[in-house]
Amino acid sequence: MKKQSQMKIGESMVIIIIFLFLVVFGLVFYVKYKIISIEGSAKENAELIAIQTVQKIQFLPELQCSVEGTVDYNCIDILKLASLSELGDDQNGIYDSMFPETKISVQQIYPPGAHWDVYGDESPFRDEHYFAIPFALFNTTANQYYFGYVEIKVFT
Amino acid sequence: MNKKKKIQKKNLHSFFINKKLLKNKKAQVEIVGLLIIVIMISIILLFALKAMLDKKDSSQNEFIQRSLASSFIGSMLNTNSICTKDTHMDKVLIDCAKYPTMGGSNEFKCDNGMKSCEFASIIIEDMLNKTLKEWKKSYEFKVKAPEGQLIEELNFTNTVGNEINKDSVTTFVQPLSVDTSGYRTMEIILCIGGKCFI
Repeated sequence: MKKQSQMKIGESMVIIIIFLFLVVFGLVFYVKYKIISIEGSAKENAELIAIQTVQKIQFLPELQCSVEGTVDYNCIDILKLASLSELGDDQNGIYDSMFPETKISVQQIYPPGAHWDVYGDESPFRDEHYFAIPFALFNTTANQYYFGYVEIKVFT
Repeated sequence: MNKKKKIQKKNLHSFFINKKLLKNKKAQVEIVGLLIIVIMISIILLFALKAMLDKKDSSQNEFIQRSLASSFIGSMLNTNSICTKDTHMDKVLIDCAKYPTMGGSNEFKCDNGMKSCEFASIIIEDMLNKTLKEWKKSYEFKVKAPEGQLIEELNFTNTVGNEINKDSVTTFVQPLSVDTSGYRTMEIILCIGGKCFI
């Protein structure tokens, strides 16, 4: 009778352990799934901000190329770009609402050339989402088109 | 004596009934336990299934890849090449597409002596390496002559990324007229996310 009771207790303990294992496994799985989905939505939001930024840059008169009044949307005027990148933080504050939590820079790669920091600063303590898109860079004085890209860093 | 026997018989009968009831109750408890385990496993399986079937909205990804491809081709064709003075990349590619078997015409030669196809290949590869490859985007770049002949093929596969299924590949095709009539067109194809399916 005593042995049977011990057996019963052992059986109950095994059932409780299996039950707890299932609960812990379920919780771990759920938390991992939630973390991945939250990270995914954060990345998706950052991508959306980056796309919006690219579209704003394409239509920004301070940067876009125009030849005899015709606007070339996939092009940045290097002279305008140089002027904009020279503005100090106190002067380019008007872009704070237009490009929130964003750092924009432009790199010329063919022929190899300059790098311009257009707007924003690095935020080392926050998550950084990088996005870049090729752009034509127009040198008005030389009447030459170069190849480069705009890089956008969104901090979340 | 007879009465005693009767009582004994009655007690034995009630003992068996109680034992049967106890056994029934125990079986019920075990069934409930089993049911709880089945429900828990079902919930876990449902979550696993949801996680597996939960597909990311591909339209945003497709839009990004299409923007990248169109921007790359548009900017590249617009760029002044250093082949000769004031020659854009589109002119270099058109010359290459007109004479694909010869690697470009003999009249069109770069200042460094290169023919148009060789020059275009070097420059485009450099541009792709410094952009899409550096950003770890899988791509396939092709240029087809009007006769369908492949005159340029470059690709890069990001082995770390998960862009291997057909849905994630975005194809952008830019036709370019090689003569003034507009009947003969070459094709510049850039697939982002993996290899082209065309």
